[in-house]
Amino acid sequence: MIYIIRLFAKSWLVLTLLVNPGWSMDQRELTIKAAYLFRLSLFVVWPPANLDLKGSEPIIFCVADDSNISASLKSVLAGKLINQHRITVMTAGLSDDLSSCHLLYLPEGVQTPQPFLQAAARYPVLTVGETETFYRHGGMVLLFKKNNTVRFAINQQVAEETGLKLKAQLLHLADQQP
Amino acid sequence: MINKRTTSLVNSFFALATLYQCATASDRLSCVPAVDTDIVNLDLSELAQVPIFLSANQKATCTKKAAGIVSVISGREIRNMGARDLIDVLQLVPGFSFGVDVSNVVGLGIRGIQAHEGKVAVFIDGINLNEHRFGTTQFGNHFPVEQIDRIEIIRGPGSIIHGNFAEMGVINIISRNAAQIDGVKISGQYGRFERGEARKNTEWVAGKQWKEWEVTLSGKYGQAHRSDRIYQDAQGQRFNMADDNELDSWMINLGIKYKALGLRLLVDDYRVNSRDGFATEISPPDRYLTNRFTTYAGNLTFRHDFSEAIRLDLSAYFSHQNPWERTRHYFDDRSSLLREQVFVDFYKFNAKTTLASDEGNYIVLGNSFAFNQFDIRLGGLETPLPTFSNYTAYVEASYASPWGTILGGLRFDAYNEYGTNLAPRFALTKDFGRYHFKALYSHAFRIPTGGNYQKNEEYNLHRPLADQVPQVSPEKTYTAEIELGYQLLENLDLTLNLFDIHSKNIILYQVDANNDDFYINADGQNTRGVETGLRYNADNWGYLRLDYSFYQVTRNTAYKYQIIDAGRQIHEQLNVGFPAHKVTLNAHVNVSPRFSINQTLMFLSDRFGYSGDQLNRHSPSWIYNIYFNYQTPQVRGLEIGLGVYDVFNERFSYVQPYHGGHPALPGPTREVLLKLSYQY
Repeated sequence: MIYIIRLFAKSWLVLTLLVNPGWSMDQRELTIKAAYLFRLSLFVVWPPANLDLKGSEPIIFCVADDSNISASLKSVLAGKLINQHRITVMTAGLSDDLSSCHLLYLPEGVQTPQPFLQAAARYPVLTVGETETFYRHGGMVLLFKKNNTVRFAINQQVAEETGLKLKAQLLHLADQQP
Repeated sequence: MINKRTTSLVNSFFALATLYQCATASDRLSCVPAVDTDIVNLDLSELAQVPIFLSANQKATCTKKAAGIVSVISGREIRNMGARDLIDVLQLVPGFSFGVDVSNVVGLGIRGIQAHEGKVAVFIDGINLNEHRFGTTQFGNHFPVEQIDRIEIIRGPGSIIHGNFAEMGVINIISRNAAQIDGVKISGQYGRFERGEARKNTEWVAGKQWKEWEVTLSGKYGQAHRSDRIYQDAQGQRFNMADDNELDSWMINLGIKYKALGLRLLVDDYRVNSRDGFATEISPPDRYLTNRFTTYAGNLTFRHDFSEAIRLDLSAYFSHQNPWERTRHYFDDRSSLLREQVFVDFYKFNAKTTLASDEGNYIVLGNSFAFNQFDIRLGGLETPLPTFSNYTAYVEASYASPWGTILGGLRFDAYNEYGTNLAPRFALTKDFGRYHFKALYSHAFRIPTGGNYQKNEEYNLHRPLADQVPQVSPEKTYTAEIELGYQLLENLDLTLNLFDIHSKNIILYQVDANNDDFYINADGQNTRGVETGLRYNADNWGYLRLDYSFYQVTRNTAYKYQIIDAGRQIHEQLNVGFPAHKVTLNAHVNVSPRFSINQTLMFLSDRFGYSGDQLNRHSPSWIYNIYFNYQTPQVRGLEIGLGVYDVFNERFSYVQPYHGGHPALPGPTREVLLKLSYQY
């Protein structure tokens, strides 16, 4: 029995050493994050000049520098409405005008989020990111992993400085930053 | 340091496993939420509970990463196509084929292999609908469809998770939960063939959630006829199946959930009337036969999360069945005669621990104890059968590496009558975004049932030792599968599967010259083939599913499966009853938000079957169905459906997938069906 336990322990160790934490996001994880983007947006009020509550213009989700993730989000969120507004997903680079974005998503792969955050800071754009750097440099919503699930934390002050209003329920559901 | 921590971790795994030594791995396929598209419909608090990586028993519906070849059919797709019963649904699954067994009973074959008798496991909400006497599941106006949330189908070996009856496949029907139903839905359908009534069914579904309590209740009461055609036996005797050969069913399914505790109770009563007889000859004209299959089953489950990484699942399962209860009825005043009655009680206790890491690696350890008790009230055997028990220990581990997810599983069974069995499985799956890949290898098995044992005991009664037959031994299968998937366009997916199945020691039904039946083991049979699937989803206007499947026999030592004419095997690459090629198309169009049209087209290449000892070739079939659905604006919740099935009147027949002498059984002809449903 002891031999079997040792053998098992060694095998487990070998497997553990082979772990590479940097594998790319899989489709399921991306779907969960897409669901977050959609659900979070239901609790955000944009200034009427940017998104008329009674209007029918699309709400624009921009994805920083990743057309693959952008395409996947488009597929997952197809047909979804936020207060009668259709969701349009597009890829955005630093050279693009971010003022047209209502939400800017910076996936984990965006290692230097500061330029995007600076470019978006002038507009009521809800920024959602996944890295500690993002959150530390003024990102509004942080998606992070905890116990094999995705959670979110909110930087309320930064969000409201840009003219966005976050509903109380959203703040209630948010986690603390890890 | 690392060594010490790892050893400590492993020790805790084993400690947990030892602690809960009364039972094993849960047998349910379940993916919560079922499919990725469902995730988007969850609210924020629910999203926080969705696991990024899924454990073994959660993975099946996440088809890209599931360690199996999996088809998932949603309840919406089933209702969109106006499915009359599960046959309409499962006929669209690649590699699945229906054939007659005996006496108007129709069963399933998979990938060119007769699976009806104990090789495909069917579950409804964790309740196993295979009868435990011979392992069969009967199809044809049997199972309700209105309550279905989704059907998860493993088109390959499932024994390691699901045990006996899952050697070739698993069909797991999952009902809508209380939150999804949130009210009551009732529906009724009436269908007619050209020459008689086809079916009249009512179904009801109710569900409500009160704080921590969830209650669902669904059921069905139905009467149907297999066909309206003329059946002709091997001697040329005929009878009219119109308004004859009834299929009567009722089912009640109750689910109660309180926090982590769940209870499922299910009652199923299915009666098959027949005049087509057991083999070559129809019943005498003054009588008909009823085979009745009843199941009373309950499953109590409990789940406890010690932490977010360690979970315990416990379950206690019981079923009381009376399968193949055979009664002879007369058309005149004579009273009915009960000919055969055998009760089977089945008990199973499971315990499973799942340990998962944040990275999605996990290990599942479990064990179970199960036993079958037979009570032969009326049959050929006067001595009681032994109790058939087995102990199972199970381990499965998954590791997400940069090159893909590696999964390894091992199942050990110890049977009181059939010795021990060790079955491993391995899987490598990788999702590259647009591409996905799976390589799978698994052992599977079919342990003889009490019914097999009983038949051979009966056969040996009063026979000299030299003429007696031994009890059959377990059948084993070794399956290798590969799946490649590619997302051609944003909403267009293509998958390609290759399979290679090697079975040995196959359990085979035999009838001798005196018409006495028994079971033997034949050396084996192998099949291999390819399955492809094309899926196009356009949320606004509908969707399209196109599937193709092909199999060929690479080895067959069982003459009952061979295609033999005048003593010579004329087709070595086909098995009796199975088409080599099958193509299915299901196209759904939302003409307006309230009106939809659904079309299905199925092509089956030619099949061979027997009538007595005469070999017959059945021409290729094209079955085309169309179903219109309209949601009335005047009465909210009211839907009207109108379907025409087998529009070309191809007159499909169920060919017996072995040489049992039973001629092909006529199936449904052109049918017009009206369906009304109301939800409030």
